Amino acid sequence: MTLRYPAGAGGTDADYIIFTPVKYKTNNESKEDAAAPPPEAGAEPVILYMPNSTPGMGNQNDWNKVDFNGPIGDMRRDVSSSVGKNFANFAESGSFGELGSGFAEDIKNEGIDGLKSRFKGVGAQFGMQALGGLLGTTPNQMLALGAGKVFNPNVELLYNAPQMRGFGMAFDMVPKDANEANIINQIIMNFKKWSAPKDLENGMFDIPYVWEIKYMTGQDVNKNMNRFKKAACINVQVQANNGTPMHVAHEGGIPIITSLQLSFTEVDIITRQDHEKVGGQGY
Amino acid sequence: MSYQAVKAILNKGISRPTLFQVIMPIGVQAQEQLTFLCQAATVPEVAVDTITVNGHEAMGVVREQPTIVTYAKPFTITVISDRDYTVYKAMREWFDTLAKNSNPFARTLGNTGSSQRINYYNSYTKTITLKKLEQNGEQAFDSPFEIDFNKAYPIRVGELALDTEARDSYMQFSVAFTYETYTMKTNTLEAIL
Repeated sequence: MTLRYPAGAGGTDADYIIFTPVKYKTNNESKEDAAAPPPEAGAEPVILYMPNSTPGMGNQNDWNKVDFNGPIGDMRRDVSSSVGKNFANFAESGSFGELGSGFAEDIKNEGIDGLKSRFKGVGAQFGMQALGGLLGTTPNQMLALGAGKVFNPNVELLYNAPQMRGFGMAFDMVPKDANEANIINQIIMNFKKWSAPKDLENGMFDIPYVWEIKYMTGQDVNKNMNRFKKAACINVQVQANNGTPMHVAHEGGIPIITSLQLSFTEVDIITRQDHEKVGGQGY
Repeated sequence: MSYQAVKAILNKGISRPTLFQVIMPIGVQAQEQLTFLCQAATVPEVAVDTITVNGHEAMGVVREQPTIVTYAKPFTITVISDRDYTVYKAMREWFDTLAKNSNPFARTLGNTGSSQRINYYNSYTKTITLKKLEQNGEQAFDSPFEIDFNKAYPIRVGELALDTEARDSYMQFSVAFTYETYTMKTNTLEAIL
């Protein structure tokens, strides 16, 4: 049974959001077998109204600035580049011969004059570094003082990896009748229960469920808003009567307003293919 | 514009603000009183909130994009009271359905203590109708439009001002209602429906 707040949510009139608990699988398992195992009895999908403020979704990619300062840095960069290129080729071909010949080719391309020139610069920079230790100045400071020059920092921005996304949503639930009040309790219980581990009473825990979250319009996924990957619910925060000057309640002690704040972290990174697969705005 | 042209446009005359009827779910007797003794009411303003879109199509030009249709609240009526305070009592009865002990220590069934317990929204929200009337020249009234206030309930039953100096006056009070939206029903719309 799908739990809904408000009672009419999920119709064709208004947009809504649906949370479906699914059993956790590692990303590796998910790639091998797309179908999720059936949820346990009681793991109910939840339909809620669109939050008043939908979360801003960042799609962060980690790039790092790396300095390859002066002739030493320049050499370090080129050697690293050669190692990276040739080992990437080796990873594909598996041929040691190709690996060796790749390195030999790179050295050959540099030429005797090129290598000589490099070593002159590298030697000078080493010398300045050694003396800088004694004098308390850096090679760049020495160059700036003596020759009005500095080493080229040879800056590169290098890619590391996409970042995992975290986001939160807040809902205020104000029951219109006793039935809705009961459903609000069930919704909160559902989020708490399936986001918590199960004690297997053998010294181990069963991992909490993760959540499939979708913005919906009518019966379809809303392609005009971002999509979510399966997400772990890392916090379920509930507060009664947020904003009222004192405790106020319906008969039976049911709060007038129950605020639910959910925090999630997606379980996987997002690649270009993921965006293409879902279409619309992507993730 | 010629006199004849103006006369033709205004063939039914100018509207009178004095002619209207407020209909509420408050019982037959109170409704009869309300029909004749409701002194003032207003058709609330309807408006739209906008966000500004600055310089998208042309530099220096501001476009306003509608976001939410809003209805001015509250809807307030002023009523002249009879000596039995029939309408006033009916309004208080409706108001008192909002919360247990909104009329504390009243000898009603189930009222104990003085803690207030708010009742559920669906139990006290009702539809209020405001009907604009116009004379049709045949000792009857036409209604050019009427308004249904959806999910309305009283949020304030105004004061009864008692004054020993007010000898040649009458007792009146106001009641303010909130609501979610209102539906304007015109003859044209009704014909379509």
